[in-house]
Amino acid sequence: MNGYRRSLRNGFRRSNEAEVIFRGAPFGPAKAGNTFGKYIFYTKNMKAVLKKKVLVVDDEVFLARVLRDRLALEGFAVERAADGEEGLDKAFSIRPDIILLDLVMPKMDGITMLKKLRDDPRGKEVPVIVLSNLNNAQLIDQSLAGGAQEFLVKVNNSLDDVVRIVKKRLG
Amino acid sequence: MGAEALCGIVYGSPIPQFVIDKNHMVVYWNQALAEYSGMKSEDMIGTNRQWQAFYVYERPCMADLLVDQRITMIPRLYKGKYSKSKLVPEAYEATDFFPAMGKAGKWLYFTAAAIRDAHGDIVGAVETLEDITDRKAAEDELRKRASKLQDNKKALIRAVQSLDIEKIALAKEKAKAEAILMSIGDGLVITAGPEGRILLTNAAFDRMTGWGAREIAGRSLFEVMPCQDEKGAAVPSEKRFISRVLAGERPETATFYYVRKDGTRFPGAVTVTEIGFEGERLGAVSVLRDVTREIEMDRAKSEFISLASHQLRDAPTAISWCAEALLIASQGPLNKGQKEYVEEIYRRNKGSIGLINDLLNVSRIDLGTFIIEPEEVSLKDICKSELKQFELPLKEKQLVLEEDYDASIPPINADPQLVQVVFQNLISNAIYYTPEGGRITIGLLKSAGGIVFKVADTGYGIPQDQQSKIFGRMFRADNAKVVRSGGSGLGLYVAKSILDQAGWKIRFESREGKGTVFYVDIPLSGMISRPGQTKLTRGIV
Repeated sequence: MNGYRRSLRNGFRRSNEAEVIFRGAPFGPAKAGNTFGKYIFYTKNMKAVLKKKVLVVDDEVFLARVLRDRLALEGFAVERAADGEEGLDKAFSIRPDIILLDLVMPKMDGITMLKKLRDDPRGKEVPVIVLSNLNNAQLIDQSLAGGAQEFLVKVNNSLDDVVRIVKKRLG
Repeated sequence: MGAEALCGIVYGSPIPQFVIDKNHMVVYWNQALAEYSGMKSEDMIGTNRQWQAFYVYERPCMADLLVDQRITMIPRLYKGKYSKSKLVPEAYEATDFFPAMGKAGKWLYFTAAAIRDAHGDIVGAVETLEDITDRKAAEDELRKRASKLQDNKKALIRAVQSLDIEKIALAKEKAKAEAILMSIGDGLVITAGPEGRILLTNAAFDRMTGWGAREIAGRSLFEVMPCQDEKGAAVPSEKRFISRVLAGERPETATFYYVRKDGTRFPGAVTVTEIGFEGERLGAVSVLRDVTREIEMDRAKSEFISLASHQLRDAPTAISWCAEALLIASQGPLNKGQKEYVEEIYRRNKGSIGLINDLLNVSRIDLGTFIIEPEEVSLKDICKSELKQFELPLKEKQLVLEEDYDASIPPINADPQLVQVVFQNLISNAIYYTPEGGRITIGLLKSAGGIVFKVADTGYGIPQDQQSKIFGRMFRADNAKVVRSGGSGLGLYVAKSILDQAGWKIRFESREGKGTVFYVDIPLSGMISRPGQTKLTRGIV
């Protein structure tokens, strides 16, 4: 264990050397998907994790914030775009390590942005996780065929699930 | 001429004749008559027994009447059988039947005339006769035959008339049938032979396809109207329903895409039946219905549900994530009371999400638009993984779990997600509706038709009078409501609908207060495959 512990009382702040411990209580009938099992998240080396950049593309302000807060807790550097157009810009300028992409957005929707992203050499490699509340076989096919790595239905996945999959896709 | 003079002439004549004088005595009885009547001349001459040759009793012959000039008697004795001779003056001729003569009677044609002397006084009468029995017989025969011919002719005329009536009736029927066929709202095409030669199309078909009836009569339907699947790939002739029906199959109504005269295509629901005659399949009747509107409506409904569900899910997502974030103290620690409240928010919200997912599934089930994608699965593995999720409730309620898996059960072609939903519904019901300390038995066993998945419990059971409604949408039995307030009544409805549409069966036995057993009958052929709009979502129990 490197670094030092931060007291839970003081809340959390991002720190290059912070070691983060947080714990959730057993909660409700325990089964897969239940976010509050007896997990203790424990990240040893924040330095490595902090370097990873996540781009959250979602027009919903608060939802984006919740995501961002949680990912930041995990040590990620999080940027947000409010629509497909801004998402494309930031994807090419910031060069995130992974993109969380909503589908229903003004100005440019997620599928279109995905296509334009993959058409550009700068956006060919970056892993994309589609996060949407639509559950439509056609859209799922379109997303995966269009170059997304995963299609997550927001309402069926907890923040824990999202974090887990982000980490998995980052390798 | 005197009577004697006449005799000489009379005697040699081949025609039977006799002469009587004015006293009714036979003066001459010629040889012919003697041979004919069997009465010798010498016996007859000088007597007045001329009647004996003809009658059984004594009565005047025509000659007798003429001798006495009893002309008025002639009509009385020979009514309808006599006439005044046209050739000989004062002569009468008649035809009569003499039953006493010969073996069975004879027909005679006889002529009698009075003989007058030079002064004009009657001195006698002469009667000649002719046996016309044969002629009469022939005449009768002819008459009979003519009459029969007449009858036959009448019968034929009647037959022809009734045939005409039949023809008219048939023509009317045909016109009626054609009118009906033509006016049927669905398109109709009648084809003959394996090449689908078009015999008849109705107005609706012509409208649907853009072809005029005369344009395509006699041509092959397969050429005139190409058939495609949804994606546009051509359906080969042997797969088209007409070919399949002629091969003896009876395919269920299905929807294909057909190409019109102008090259555009439309979706058509088609039903084909064969036309048979004396055991041979000669052709087919195809009924085609343009289902563009139905498909559009289904798509619109699906889209609406997708959109509505999308909007419905926004709030619960936010609540869920916010509550989660609070509970991991990412915004600061919560005190005990705060934690409990937030936990409740989280739990209730999860319930909402589950209900939304259930309702979404129900609407997809009702529309019949959910995808069935079978793959080779191990039912035992799915069962075990579902059971794992219920580890905690099983422990909390101290329920005993018994498992019985037949090792020889092979993998089955089934959509794993759908199997999960069904198993999950049945297992969760067993757990929820069994009191503490009870027993749950799960089994996967071989059966006559294939495999049986069995979930048995020692729980509250389903009351007898509510068993028929248990698969009903949103139906909850009364005792279930008492035991658990949160159920939606959708679990069994969803399970049964999925199984119905996948081709499997579900049944149960239950006794209130004793327990329930649910059986899912699984054929070895597994689930049918079906395309659709989307897959069902996993509900939260």
